[in-house]
Amino acid sequence: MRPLRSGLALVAAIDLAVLAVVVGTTTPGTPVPAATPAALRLFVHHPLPVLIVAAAGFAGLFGFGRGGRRSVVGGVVGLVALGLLAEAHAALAGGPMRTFFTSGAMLLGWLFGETLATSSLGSSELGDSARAQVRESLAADGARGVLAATYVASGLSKLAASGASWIGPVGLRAIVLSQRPLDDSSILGAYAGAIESSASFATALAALAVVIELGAVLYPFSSRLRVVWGTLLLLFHLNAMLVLRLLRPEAMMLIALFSYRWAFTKETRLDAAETAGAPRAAVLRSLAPWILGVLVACAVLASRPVKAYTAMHRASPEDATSPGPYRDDLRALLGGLSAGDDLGGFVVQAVGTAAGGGASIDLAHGEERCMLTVTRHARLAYSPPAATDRYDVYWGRMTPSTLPEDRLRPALVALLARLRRTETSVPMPAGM
Amino acid sequence: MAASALAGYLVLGRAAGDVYPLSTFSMYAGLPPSSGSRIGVRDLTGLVQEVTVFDAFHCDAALDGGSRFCAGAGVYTIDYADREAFAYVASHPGEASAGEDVDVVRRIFRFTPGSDEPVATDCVITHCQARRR
Repeated sequence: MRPLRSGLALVAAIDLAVLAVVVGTTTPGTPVPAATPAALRLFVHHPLPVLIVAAAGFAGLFGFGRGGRRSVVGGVVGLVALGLLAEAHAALAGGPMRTFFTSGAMLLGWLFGETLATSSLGSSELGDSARAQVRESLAADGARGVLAATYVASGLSKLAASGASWIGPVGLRAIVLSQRPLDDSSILGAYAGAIESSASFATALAALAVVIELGAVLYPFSSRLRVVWGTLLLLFHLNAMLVLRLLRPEAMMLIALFSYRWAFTKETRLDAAETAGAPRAAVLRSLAPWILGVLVACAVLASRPVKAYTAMHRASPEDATSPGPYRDDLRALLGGLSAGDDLGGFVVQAVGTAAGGGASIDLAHGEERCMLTVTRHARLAYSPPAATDRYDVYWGRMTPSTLPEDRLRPALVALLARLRRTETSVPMPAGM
Repeated sequence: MAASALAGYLVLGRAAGDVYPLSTFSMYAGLPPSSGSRIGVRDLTGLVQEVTVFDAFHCDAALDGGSRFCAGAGVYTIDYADREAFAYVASHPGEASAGEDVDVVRRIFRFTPGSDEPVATDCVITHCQARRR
């Protein structure tokens, strides 16, 4: 009985089943980004390929869960199946759902640990039983390391994107207000309301969240730290569940399984304690090719085709739509505006027909991106942020999403000036 | 082992962005500017409720053109939550005059310096008739 391995396989299988059902039963016609690879389109609106991949994934995870000589192969098959369906789901949903990532990430860490242990123990003098125990222990350590990394990565992302400002009086309250039900009069609603209306309470919770996430770096390094930080991580998820309705049952199950000394995991832990020191030197020696592999993988992941895929794939379907043809009547209305021109400090990336009609202008300045859309006055049901006598101008697709209005204002003013120069002399283009 | 797995995942996740199972888990990393927002349905009394409180929507404008209606610069949105709300309205159509007059709105909560309570305003996305479930 290998409870950690079996538990990880079970949670991964649950994720696989959910993904298979969601992807396989998607309503026909649900849009996906235009540049979604053919390999993923195969699963969209086609239940049979989904079933085949899911069946292979279940078989692989079953083999992984049982352990034995081919468990790594089974784990890889399961991970590939999860990856295909998770990416297909991301294309359909307009972005990745990280709920499914924890089991896959830990499976990756487990496979890394198991493979490294196998290669390290090749020439050791340990008996078969001890060898198997050490391999299992090191594999579990790999999974725990990656589990911790997922939280550290989240904490680092917050600091990288927002700095210490993330722990401010507004951030968490805005997230709670944007996420929780509008008309919630329950006790949980009252708790969320207390956070929304108390800057100091919200600041304290935000600070605590970042400390718990970054502090997860300590999680894998001793059984006591695992208990302490595992408990903090569970409380973190429990709070997110109560306040934001963010359910992460898979992550919570895996944290509970890998953090505590359960009766059914006792045997593994004792074995690990007895044998942990034996292969350390061999493991360290075996790490060199893995470090090289990570560097190569980084180069591949940072390459243009892969980056193009992730950038395209993560955009929502409407965002992934490039402007349509730049017709002469639109060009005349926009005063000859072309790609490469300056518009209020932004560089025009593309101009053309917007997906819903009107003109679409993609702008960039460094890492900042936004899109301006021009339509005839009062065409859309909602108020424009700017308008001329005949045309309304909207903005959208801001990167970062928090790009402030003041930053966009010069581009908007420049566009309005162009429209005012031409709107009385140029006939209204078709489809505005 | 754990340290190398932890470091390896962080490095690969940073290089990949988001490719299963690698991620930077940056879902809530961006700092909301000074607001939060939520899609809802406002009835004639001014009460704003979840879209799922209603069905049989018959709206003046289709909501299949995007997820950022009424989300101008400076308005924080959680796009997947908005898309779910719009998808619900689109997938629960009804006949005209089958229900009560409502507006699909983006309720925007703005924070102001010196005040703990956010100020709520509604941006009307479209007018509909809908039936209370």
